[in-house]
Amino acid sequence: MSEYTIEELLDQAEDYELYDVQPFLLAQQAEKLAEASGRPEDLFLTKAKVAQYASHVDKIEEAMVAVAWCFANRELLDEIDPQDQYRFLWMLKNLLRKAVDLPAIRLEQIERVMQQTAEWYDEYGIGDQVIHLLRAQRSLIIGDTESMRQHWETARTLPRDSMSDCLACEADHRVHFCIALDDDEQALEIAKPILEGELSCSTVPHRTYSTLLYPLLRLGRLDQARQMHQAGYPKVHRRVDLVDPVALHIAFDVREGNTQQALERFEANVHNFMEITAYTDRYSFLVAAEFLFEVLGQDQSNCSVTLPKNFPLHREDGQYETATLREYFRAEAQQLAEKFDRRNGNDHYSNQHRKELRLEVGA
Amino acid sequence: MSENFQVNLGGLIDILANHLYSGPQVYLRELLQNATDAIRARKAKGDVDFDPTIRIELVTPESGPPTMVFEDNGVGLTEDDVLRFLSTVGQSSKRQILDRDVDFIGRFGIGLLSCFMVCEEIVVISRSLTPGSPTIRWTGRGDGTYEVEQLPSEAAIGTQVFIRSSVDAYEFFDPKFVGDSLARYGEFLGVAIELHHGGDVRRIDSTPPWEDDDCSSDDAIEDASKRLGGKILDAFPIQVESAGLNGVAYITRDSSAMATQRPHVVYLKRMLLSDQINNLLPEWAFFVRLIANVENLHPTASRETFVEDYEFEATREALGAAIRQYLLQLSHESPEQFRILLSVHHGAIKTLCVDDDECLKLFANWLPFETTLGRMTLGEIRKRTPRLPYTSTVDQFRAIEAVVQAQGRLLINAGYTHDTEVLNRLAEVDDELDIHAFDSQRFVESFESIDANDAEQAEQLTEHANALLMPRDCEADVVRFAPKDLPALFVHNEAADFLKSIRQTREQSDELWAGMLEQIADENEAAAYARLFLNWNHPLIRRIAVIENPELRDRLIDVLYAQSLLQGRHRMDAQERELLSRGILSLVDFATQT
Repeated sequence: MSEYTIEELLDQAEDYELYDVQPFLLAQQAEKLAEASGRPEDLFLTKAKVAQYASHVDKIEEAMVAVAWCFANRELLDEIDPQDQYRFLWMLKNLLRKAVDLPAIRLEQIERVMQQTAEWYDEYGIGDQVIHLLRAQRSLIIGDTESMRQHWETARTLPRDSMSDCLACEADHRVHFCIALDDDEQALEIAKPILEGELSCSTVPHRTYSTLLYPLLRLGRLDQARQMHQAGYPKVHRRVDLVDPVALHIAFDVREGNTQQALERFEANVHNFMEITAYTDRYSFLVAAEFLFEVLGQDQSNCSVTLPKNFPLHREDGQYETATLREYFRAEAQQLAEKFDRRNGNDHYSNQHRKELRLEVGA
Repeated sequence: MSENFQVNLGGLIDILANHLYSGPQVYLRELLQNATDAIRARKAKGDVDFDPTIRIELVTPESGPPTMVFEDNGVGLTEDDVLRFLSTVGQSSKRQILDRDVDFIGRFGIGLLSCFMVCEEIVVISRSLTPGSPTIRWTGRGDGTYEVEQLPSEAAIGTQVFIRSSVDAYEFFDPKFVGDSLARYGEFLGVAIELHHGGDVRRIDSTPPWEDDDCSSDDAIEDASKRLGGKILDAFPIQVESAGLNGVAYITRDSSAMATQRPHVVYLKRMLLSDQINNLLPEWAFFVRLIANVENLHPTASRETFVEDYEFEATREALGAAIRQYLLQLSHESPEQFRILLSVHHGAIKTLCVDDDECLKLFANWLPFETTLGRMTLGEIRKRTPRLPYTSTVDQFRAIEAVVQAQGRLLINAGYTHDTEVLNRLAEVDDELDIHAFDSQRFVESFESIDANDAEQAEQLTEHANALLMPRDCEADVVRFAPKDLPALFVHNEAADFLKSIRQTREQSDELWAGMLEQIADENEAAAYARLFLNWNHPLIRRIAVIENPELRDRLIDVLYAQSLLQGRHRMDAQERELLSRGILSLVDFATQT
């Protein structure tokens, strides 16, 4: 059926950076082979890999479908290699963090999956710290700061274990929590070891720079924000798993009047935006794009933009009315915000989160 | 009150033998190292009026243990030196003067102890270069005891180490083993080494490859092939000043995958550090192997690898840059040679191109790809067309290959490692090329519709097929396309495929997950159908269109559908496998009934 074996395809997938989409495609091929092989443990392993690689490149829906199969066949986890078991359990955590990015999934469903996961973790000796941290992050994303505070405080009282995030990621989460609680000074203090290079990993400080733009602007420290912007963008450039920070940097360029640079960065990353099904990140990009074409439209009614062929308004000649593009992104953003807000029972996306994404500080 | 730790020498030797060193054979390296350092120290003291020599006398009696005298005419040891350095574990005479300009190889003060891995007693007789120094004898034992005494006779300046094999170490005194080990570690030391055994003398002193005037000559390549144990395509000198690295880089003739298993041979201050060093080059350069001498990198205590510190990282980077420079130069100056190199190592070059735009621009036209028009370089492809459609996986390519090929159109198989990344990067740096993912939906628009004479039959067949296939999210169409020997082509639709996998998973899931999957499916509802194209050019399709028995017609359509899935390497679920076997069974029944 294929020129490679399941093992060869999965080995090839290991050769790529995690944020490359190719491992996901290779894992899907391996999954097809496993389906044909009729060996349940192979199918579990390949589904786990599909979920793992899909979640790395923010293909959340695809990851959810693969994980759903794994939950339905959970007894097979014991049949795979211990290292793959651990990777699967680790991936579950990442996926739960991102499940809230799908507005179609209701909050009580996410909570029930967290409970199922906590039970599964318990069987493997993993404690509740990670679950409380995930709940805190979920609450942060939906704009429920009080719930976020409670879960964060609970998580801090529980011991770290094999499922705890690395220290760099933990610090990065704390930065987010502090900003949500309007404690910008504390956020900057926590970010210090990240910015000084003492704490780092595959996504930190990459995402941290963009996270600090809003609090720095809120504190009136424009020079520092510019430094963050300058240091941060190259680290997230074209990263399919970091579309959210890219969007913030584009918004910063627009805010600074660097619309040409913003446009170039938009063009460099719009392909990734088209690829991902992490709707929170898509929303960030939509808002940034709307902001960009809104400001561009103040000076020019037409613009030349390279858009991917699968972009709904794509034109071969690359010539667009600026207002048309702005309207497209505005409508898409608004539609998505409404979905999120309906699901979350508040107006966080349409209101506060939108302001944050446009880096609008002050009243 | 403070007290000293008690060191159990036996335990320490066990640690050296079993955990620090790779095995007892390294005692020869350690003796060689001490002797070389002693000679360098003598030179450093300004004494150049001697002929540096290391002489090993090996005696292997027919009965009884073999013995060895390891002698150098280096700086020698005073009584003080002996007490401080030979009798104190971890104290190195060389560490005291490390900051000075003497090229000592050793510095950990544990080298001589390695002899206890092969003997129970070590006797050292030494006379220092320091004027008026007496001859000193130091006798150390494996139990940690030692004696020091002055000898009345005046020995030559230098040091002699006497050892007698312990009962279980005879193999390490075998003359061939000793000679080969001395050559392995010390042939490039630049000090004459003589091994005396019986009446035979073996002299060990060779010119290292990095001092060879023409490292790419046939003789030099042949010699390196023997040393590295593989075939070599080309060689070039390579240096990194900061590390004091001087060596030769060899481009292997082996396929890259095999080359990854082959390490580099690295000397530290001209003595072999290891022939198993495998992390000195960037990962992409796995087609290059080094024989090199290093002066300034730091060895680990075992002296079998390097400490991976900042200097090591910087050296690796500099070596990567040097190899990259070689490739650039080769592509300019010896295109034919570069083409041969690429034919073997295109995988490695593609890896380099993914991260290096300059290399990508320079090498892109040389890179080979599999296409529907045969294997071609990108340069050959672009001569035909600036439009470069590609598939990201081998399976996608195989699924459509025959049809695209039959139409004489070009499609690149970018499913091999890094091909897609290379093309995506190239799309960004080369405005002249239109590189894009193959759009099968658009491609099938070029299929010919059925002419008026056959339109009615074709339409009826389409209707019948759709009645069977629409419930499977597949839409049938009867058209004409090449090759005419392909009766049906299944064109998958990613979104339809995704919906199908959601449906399959939902059937197995509990109420919670089934609900969530339902909601995800709703979000993707607008997805288009997959399509089955029935080829009117194929006689089977025309025959099916006129079959009056609906059961036979439907089973044939089922079989065509399942067979097109198989042919295109598409996902098949249990129901589809059932369709295939049920269809074939029905055909058998029909054939046997009639």
